[in-house]
Amino acid sequence: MVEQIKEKINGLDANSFDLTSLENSNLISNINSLTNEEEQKEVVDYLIARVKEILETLELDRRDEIKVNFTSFLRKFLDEDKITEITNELEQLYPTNRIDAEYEIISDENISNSGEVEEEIVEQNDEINEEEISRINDRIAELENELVAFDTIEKIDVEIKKNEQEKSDIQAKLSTKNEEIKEKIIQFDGQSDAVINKLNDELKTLQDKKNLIYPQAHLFGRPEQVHQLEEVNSQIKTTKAEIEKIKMDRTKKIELNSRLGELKNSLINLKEEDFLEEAKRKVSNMNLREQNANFVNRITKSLYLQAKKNLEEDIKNTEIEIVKIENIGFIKHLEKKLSSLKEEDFLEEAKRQAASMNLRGPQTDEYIKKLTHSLYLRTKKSIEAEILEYKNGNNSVLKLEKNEISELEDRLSTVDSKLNKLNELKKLKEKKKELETHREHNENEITRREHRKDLWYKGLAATAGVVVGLGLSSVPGVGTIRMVASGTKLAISGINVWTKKHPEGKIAKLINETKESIKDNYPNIANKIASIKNKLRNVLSNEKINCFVNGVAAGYMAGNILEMVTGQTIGEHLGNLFSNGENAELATGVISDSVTNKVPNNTPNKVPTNSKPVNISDNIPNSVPDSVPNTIVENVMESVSNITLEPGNVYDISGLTEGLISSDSNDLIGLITSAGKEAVVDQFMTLPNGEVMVHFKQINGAGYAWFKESVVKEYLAKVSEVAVKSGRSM
Amino acid sequence: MGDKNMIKDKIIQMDNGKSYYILDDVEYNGSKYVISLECDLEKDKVNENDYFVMKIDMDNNDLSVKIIDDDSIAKVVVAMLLNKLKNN
Repeated sequence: MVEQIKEKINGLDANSFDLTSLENSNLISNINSLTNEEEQKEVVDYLIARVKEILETLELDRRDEIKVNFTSFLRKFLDEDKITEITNELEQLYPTNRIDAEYEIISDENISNSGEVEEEIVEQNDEINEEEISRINDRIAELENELVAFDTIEKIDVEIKKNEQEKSDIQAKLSTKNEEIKEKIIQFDGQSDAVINKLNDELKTLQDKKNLIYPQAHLFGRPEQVHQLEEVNSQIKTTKAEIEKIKMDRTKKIELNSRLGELKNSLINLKEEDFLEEAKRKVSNMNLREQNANFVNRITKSLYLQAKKNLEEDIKNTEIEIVKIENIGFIKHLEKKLSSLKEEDFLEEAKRQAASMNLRGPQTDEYIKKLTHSLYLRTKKSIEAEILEYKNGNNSVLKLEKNEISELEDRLSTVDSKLNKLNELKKLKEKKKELETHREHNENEITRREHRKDLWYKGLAATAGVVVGLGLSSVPGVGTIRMVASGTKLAISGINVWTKKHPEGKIAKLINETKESIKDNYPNIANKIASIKNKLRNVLSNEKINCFVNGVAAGYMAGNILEMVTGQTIGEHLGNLFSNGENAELATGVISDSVTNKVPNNTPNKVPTNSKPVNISDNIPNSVPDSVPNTIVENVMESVSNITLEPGNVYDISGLTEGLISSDSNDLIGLITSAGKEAVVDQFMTLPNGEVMVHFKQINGAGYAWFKESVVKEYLAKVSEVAVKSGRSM
Repeated sequence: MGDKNMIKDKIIQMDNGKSYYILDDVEYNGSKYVISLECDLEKDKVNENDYFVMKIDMDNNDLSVKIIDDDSIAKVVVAMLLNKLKNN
């Protein structure tokens, strides 16, 4: 036998190392059939050696998959300590890939929650990215709405370059204008050092002149020199006054500028609430009967507006005062221009205009004379008016330049803001691209994890069913069970089923038993129920969820199938699955009470009197059956009648996925079909309607399920091989 | 009270005023078990978070709700009921 098993193990390769193939190979029952511990150990060691050989040849992901499958497989015939020992050894030799490691942690914590936890991990990542991408998209739309839409980052670059060029052009112009203004200030600055120096020079010249004239006038009393002296003295006085005035203007300009700064600051800092107290005082002085808050507010606002207006006025006036001083130099320039203005300067222009009019004759000269005079006067008046404008401060010598500069500065600010937006847009588009790449990577990762998760579930094929089965088993104890669907996008993750939380008592009324129908009277409830039912169907139909009824088919001890699948008692199994917290208490407390110690006393049908007490070791075949299918059926219908189900015979009815839990029940239940691979005919029951029901046990003697005899016969006839595996009677 | 066997898709109102919508029922060992959701008839609302599995007994022609004493039976009927909900 050992050699036969070893041969089978030799035949294993990576591809055959999934649970289905392993189950199909009968390796489990073969190993289980070894009663000699030494032999079993030899076979298991051989198996592990073979697994190592296989793992050696595989890539990381595939290794993990095989390891998971192998561990599940081991659970079928080894105890948990031994499994841990083996898995630890394999883990050291072939460490689990990162994702699997994460998985193991999750599954250790709480198997039934693993799908949910995984979901959270992945979705958190997802959410962060989505939120950010959405924020970025909004801002991009906003910016493109202000600028223009760009389909590539390269196009943004071109635009940025264009704007940078424009910016530097404007900056160059600004710099030129600033130079110009400086020159003009120097040229027309009436208070500059140059002006004062010049006047001082003039003063010195006058003093020299005075020194020269003075002796002649006083010593010799020449009337001509006396007159000259008076003139020089007067010029000296004027020049001195002029210098003094310039100095005063200079000081005044400094003071005005400083005042202007203060005023502008005050305007910026001016707040309405600054006038609240004053307003209150004013209102209180009015001795009104009722002090209205609204009235105070209005006064406050009015005071504020008045102060603001005053400040603005002050600023304007101060600016004019400054301009007036700034203009002095230019006014002098104009006055000089005015004083040097002569009629003959306009003679040429008058002649030209007269010629253009084709004037002839003696009146022509007269006309030219008059025109010359008129042009002179017009220019004179225009200069005088201009001087007046400058003196009033209505015009500024630097106005033109200042306007140009302000225009250029506006343009610069526009270009600057556009450039900022373009740069932001570029950055956002780059970030978006990066996030999208990341998301794509994330999606690939999700797919990968999903794949891993599927493998994990697949790996736990038998145990996975058990997980849910156990989850349900624990319902009565704690009261709540979460059945977690594994699909990442499944809307529902949990179903809480309570069996002891409801009150006991009489039912007073069956509501839609009366004439009111639920739909009419409780439309919300009716709608909600419809959607809940759909939801439930979806959740429960998920391939990862199977509601097994654990071996209770004929009222045998609940949990037999569990024991068959895992080789553990229920208590041990729960201890392994729910290894921490309240679940552990649940496992040891409730289930041991309810399952291990209790055998339901009200079995639906009696175990036939001719059946022997169940003894597992008696019922496990000692060897692989020699007999292969007796008959290969060619005509199904014909052969149905030929099939006879004999008590004690073993049949493979694993294709029947649903059975009944008692002969008189119509409620089909899902079965752990692997347990139906070697199902033993147990007993028959004829119902009052003449229908014959047949009950099958599992090979280990535990109950399996009831079927209609006709259904079993039809099934057996349909499968290509009718495998009667053992003729042994139970 | 009409046909007491037809309890599926009905609302039961208990003496204490609580109401339950019966989603489905199964027979096991000659007893009837139901899976239900609590509802508030006044507000026309149903609490969809918790499913209650209860035993329905017939005593002296009266229907009454019982707790399932036997845990092994409880787990069987829960599985049966979920199976039914899955397939219906």
